Amino acid sequence: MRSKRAFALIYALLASVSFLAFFAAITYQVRGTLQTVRQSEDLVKARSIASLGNEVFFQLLKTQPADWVSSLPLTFSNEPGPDYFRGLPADAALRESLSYEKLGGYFKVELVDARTVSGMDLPPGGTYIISTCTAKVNDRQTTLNERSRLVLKLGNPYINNLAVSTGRVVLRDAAFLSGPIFVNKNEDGTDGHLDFVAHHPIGSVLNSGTTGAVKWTVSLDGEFQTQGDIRIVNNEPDGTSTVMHTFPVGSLAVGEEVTVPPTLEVRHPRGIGGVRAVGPVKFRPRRPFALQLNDSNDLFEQLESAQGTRVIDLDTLGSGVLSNGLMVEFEEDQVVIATVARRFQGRIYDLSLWLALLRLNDPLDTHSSGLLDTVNGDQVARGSFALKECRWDDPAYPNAPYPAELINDCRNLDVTGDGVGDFTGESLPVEGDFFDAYSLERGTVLQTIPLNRSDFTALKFETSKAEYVSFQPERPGEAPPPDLWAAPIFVRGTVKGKVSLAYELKGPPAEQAHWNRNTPLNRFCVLSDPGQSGVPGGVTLADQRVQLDPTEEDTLSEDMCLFITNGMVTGTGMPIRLYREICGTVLPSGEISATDFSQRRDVYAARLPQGSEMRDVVERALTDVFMEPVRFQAASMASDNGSGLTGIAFNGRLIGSSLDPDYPFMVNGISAQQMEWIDLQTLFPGSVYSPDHDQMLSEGYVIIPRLMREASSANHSYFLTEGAHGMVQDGRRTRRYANGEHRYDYRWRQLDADTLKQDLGLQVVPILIERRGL
Amino acid sequence: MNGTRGLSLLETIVALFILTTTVWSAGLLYVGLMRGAQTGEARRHALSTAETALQVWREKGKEPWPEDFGLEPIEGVYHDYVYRVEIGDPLRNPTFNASVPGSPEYLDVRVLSITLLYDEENRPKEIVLHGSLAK
Repeated sequence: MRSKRAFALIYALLASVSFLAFFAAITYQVRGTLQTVRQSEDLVKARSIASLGNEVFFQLLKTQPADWVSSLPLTFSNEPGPDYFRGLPADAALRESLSYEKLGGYFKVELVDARTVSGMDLPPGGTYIISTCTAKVNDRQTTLNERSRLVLKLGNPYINNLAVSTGRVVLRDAAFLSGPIFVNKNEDGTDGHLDFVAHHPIGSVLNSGTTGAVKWTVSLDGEFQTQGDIRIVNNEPDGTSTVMHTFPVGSLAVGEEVTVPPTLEVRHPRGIGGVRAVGPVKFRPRRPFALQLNDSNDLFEQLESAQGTRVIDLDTLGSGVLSNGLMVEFEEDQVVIATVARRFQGRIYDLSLWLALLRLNDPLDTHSSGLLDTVNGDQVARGSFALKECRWDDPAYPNAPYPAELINDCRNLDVTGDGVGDFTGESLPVEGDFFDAYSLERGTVLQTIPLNRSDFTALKFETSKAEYVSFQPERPGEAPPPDLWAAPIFVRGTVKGKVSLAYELKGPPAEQAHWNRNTPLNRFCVLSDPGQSGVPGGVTLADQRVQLDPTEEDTLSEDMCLFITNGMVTGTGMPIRLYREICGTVLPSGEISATDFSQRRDVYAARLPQGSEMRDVVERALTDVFMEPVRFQAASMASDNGSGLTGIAFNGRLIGSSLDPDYPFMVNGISAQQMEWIDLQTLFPGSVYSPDHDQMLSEGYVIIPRLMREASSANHSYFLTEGAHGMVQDGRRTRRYANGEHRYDYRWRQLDADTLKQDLGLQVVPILIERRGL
Repeated sequence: MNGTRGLSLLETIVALFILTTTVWSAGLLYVGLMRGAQTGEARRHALSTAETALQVWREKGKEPWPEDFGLEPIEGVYHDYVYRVEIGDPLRNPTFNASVPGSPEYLDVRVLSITLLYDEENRPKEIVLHGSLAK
C-alpha cells in the first residue's frame, strides 16, 4: 500500500509540473512576447514625447523675457506635481494639448547652466544653457542616452552674431569674412542660403557681347550656420541665378581655395567665383536653429527700465534741437551733449572749370583721351548725363564768378612738369553755380556725462516729433521730405569706456513703421570730420584692440560702442549724393553743411587704367593741386530698419580709415534716396558701379571730381562698410555684403545675459545653437 | 515478486498522459514562442516605420506650412503601411498681446500625431506616436 501511495504521489507531482509548464507556456505566449514589444514601443513613444516637450518648452522660452535665467536650474513638466508647467506661462488650452490624455505620457524638462555640464565644448564667455527633456510612458522612462537636448545661447541675436538673417545672405567679392553668421529661413519658409555671388560688376571693363570674366575671391575665417546650402552663385543677366558650386560640410580646409570656372559668352561680365579659407571655417549647412526678437517697442521699454539708463527727450530741448539736431561728442572719458551750430565755411562751386580743364566737355571726346575707352553707346549717354551733373548748371542754384585764385590755380597747373602752367592760355569758364557750405559744430552744451570702462553707460535719446504723420504722399511710396524727419543726432569722437547710444522715434507705430520701412526718419549721423572743439571725426575706440579671432585671449580693449535705433545709423562727412537736387535738402533746415573746399586737403589719386595717358595726366595734375592722395571709401556704417523692427547697429570699431581724423572730410548730409552709381562708373571706369544700388565703393584710390566726390555717396542701408568690425543688420531680409573686411568682434559674443539685459537694456532671448540627442 | 512486476494499466495510462502533456506543453511553448516572435516582429517593424514616418513629417514641418495645413487628417501609404497624420491645432502663445506689433499669436510648434495601421495575425492593429512639428 505504501508503494502505491508513493507511486500516486510522484505521478501526481509530475502531472502538476506538466500542467504548470503548460500554463506557463500559454502565459509566456500571451504576455511575455508582447511585453518586450510594448517596452520597445513605450520607449519610442517616450522619446517622441521628450522631443515634443523640449520643443514646446523652447518655444515658450522664446516668448519670455529671460528673467528665468536667475532661477536656474528650472524644471517644467506636464505631470501634475510641483513642476507642473512651472515657471512659464501655459494657459489651459496649452496644458490640455500637452496633457497625459492627449500624449499618453509625461515629459519633464530641466534647464541648467551649460557651464555646469561636463563635456560641453562652448566658446568662452556668454551665457549658455542646456534644456534636457526626459519622458515617461507606462513607467518606461527615457534613459540618459535617450534624452532630448537643446543647447541654447542666451543673447541678443543682433549683436551676438556678425549676421543674423531670416533670409538669403549674399556675399560679394573681395570680402574678408569672419563669423559667426546665422542664416535662417526665408520669409516664405524656404531654406535661407549663404551665397557667394560670382557676378562681379565692380571694375567691369567688358563690353556687351564680349566674353570674359573677372575673378574674385572671398576669404573666410569664421563660423557659418545656415538652414540652406553654402553656395557659389552666378547671377544671370536676366536676373536669374545659377548655382555654380555647393560646399559639402567641412569641405573647405585651411588655405584651400575653391574656384568655379567662368561662364563665357555673356552680355555682362561675370566673375570666377572663388572662396578661400584663411583659417578654420566651420560650415554648418542645414543646421536647425531658431531665433526671435520682439519689436523695437519692447527693446526701448527694456532699455528705459535698465539700470542707469539716461533718457534724453529731444522734444524738451527746444526748437533748435528739433530743427537742427543734437550733437553728441565723445571727449576724453565723457560724452558732451550739445546743440548743433553751423559754421559757414565757404562756397561749393560746380565743376565746369575742372571739366574744361580735363577736356571733358564732350563725352564723345573722352574716347580720344583714353578716359572712357571702354564705354559703349549706353554708357556714353550716361556719361553725358554725368557730365551735365558735374556742370551743374541748375537754375535752382545761384550763379557767381569763380574765385580768382581757383581760376589761377587751374591755369597754372603744371601737368608737364616743365615749371610752366599748361593751361594759361586756355579759355576756361569764369562762373558757375554754387551753394554755401557749412560745418557742423558743437553749440551750447546741454549735458556732460562721464563714461567708464567697467560698465556700460546707456544713453537713450527719444523724440516724438510727429509732423511726418500728417504727410500725405502724392504718389505711392513717396516718403516724407527731410524737413519732416526727426532731428538727426550727430556723433563723433573717441570712445573711452563702454557706451550704448539709443535713439527712438516715438509715434503712432503704424505710421512710424510705414515710413521707416523706406525712409528711416530718425538717424544717428557719424560725423567724419573733426569738430572745432578738437574732437576727432568718426567714432573710434581709444583702445582699438578688438578681438577679431574667437581663439584670442580676452585681454583686449575695454572700450565698446553700441548704436541702437529704430531708424538708421549712417555717416556723414564723406561724399553724399551725385545729384545736385539732393544737396540742398538734406538737413531738416533745408540747408547742407560742408567745409570750404578751398581749405581742404582732399586729394584723389587716379585709379584709371594702367598705362592710360590720362591717368598720368590726371594723377600729376591733381596731386599738384591737392597735395596728397587719400583713400576713398564709404564713410560709415548704417542700419536700415526696413521692417519697422528694431534696427541695431553696433561696432567694436565703428570706422575705417575713411574717417581718419587726419583728413578733414566735408560734412554733409545723407539722403535716403539712392544714387545711380553707373554714372560715376561710366565717367571714371574702375571706380564704382552698382546696378543694384547695393555695392560699396571699391577700396583703394579713385578719381572723382570735386563736386562729384562731394555730392556722391551710397545709401548704405544694406551693407557694411570697409573696415567695420561688427555688424549692422535688419534680420528680416536678404543681406548683401561686399567689398571689404567684415570681421566680428568676438567680445560682443562674450557678453553674458546679465550685461546684455541689465546694462545694455537689450532683449535676451534663447538662441537655439544645437540639438543633441533626439 | 511484488517489486518486479511491470507497470499496471493505470500506471501506463498516467505515464502516457504525463508524456503527452509534456510534449504538448513543449509544442505549445514552441508555437507560442514562434508566434510571439512573429507578432513582436510585425509590431516592431510597424513601430520602426511609424518612428521613421514621424521623423519624415518633422522634416516636412520645416517647409512652408500651407494655410490649410493640418485642418484635415492626411492619409497615405509609407513603406506599404497605411498611416494617418494629424496635426494638432496651433498652440496659442500664452503671452500673445495683440497690442504689441510682432507678437506671435501662436507658437511655432504643433503636436504631430502619426497613426500607423498594420496587421497582427490578420487582426487590424495601430500604433500612435506623438511628436513635435516645429518651424
